[in-house]
Amino acid sequence: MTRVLHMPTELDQLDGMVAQLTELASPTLSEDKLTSFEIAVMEALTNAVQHAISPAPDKPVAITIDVQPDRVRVVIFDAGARAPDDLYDNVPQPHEIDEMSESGRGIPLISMLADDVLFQPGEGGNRLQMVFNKDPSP
Amino acid sequence: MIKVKQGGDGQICVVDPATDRLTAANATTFKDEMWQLIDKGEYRLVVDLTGVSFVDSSAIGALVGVLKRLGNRGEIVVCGLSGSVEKMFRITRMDKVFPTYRDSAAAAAALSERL
Repeated sequence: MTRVLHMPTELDQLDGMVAQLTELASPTLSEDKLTSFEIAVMEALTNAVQHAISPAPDKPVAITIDVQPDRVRVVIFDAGARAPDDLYDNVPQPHEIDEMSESGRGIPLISMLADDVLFQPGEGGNRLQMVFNKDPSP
Repeated sequence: MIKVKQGGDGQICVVDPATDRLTAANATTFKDEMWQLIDKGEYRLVVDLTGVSFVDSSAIGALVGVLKRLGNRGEIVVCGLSGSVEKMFRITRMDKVFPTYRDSAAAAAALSERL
């Protein structure tokens, strides 16, 4: 099952979109994995809105979710300025961020909680793909 | 957005964020209102997350901002963590930064002992 959704670049749209995506992913992912999914998708969508809000406030964030029996794949495309190519390279663990830092935990959380991350920045926008695998049966 | 009640003979301030989700959408408002409490002289704070089912990194950042604003003038603790919120505190190690209690009564009692 594949769905394509669009979200205005407004922070108050985030919670509703994340709730919708989490509901779509719920048949495949365990409760704990679904928590990881919800956190990572929230961080990724927040980044997408914040990156796109200034250069492209009228262009919505595009989200594709593909739910399969063994995994969930989410692709987020924002029309923001091209992000650095190495944004997702050598990302620290969330607990390695200075504990007194008020920001900088989003990408470490995405990298830690998704099973696979592919980030492709471009001149027309930035594409982030995250894969969440179904936990193996006990 | 926050709801405030006094505990520990009026020396402790128990804060309910009064939202199901503390995220980028409302974390700045939460932080601003917490700062106002501190600026009014509330230096012993319990943030009761019993009614909060989800926090993101913006919420974690806001709590750190409150902690920094408070500095060494007092103490801030959290209580009522469950599910996703507990997981977020654990993986960001915020459970080592903020003393964590089961509920607001336990948190207020612990703060009262340190007065």
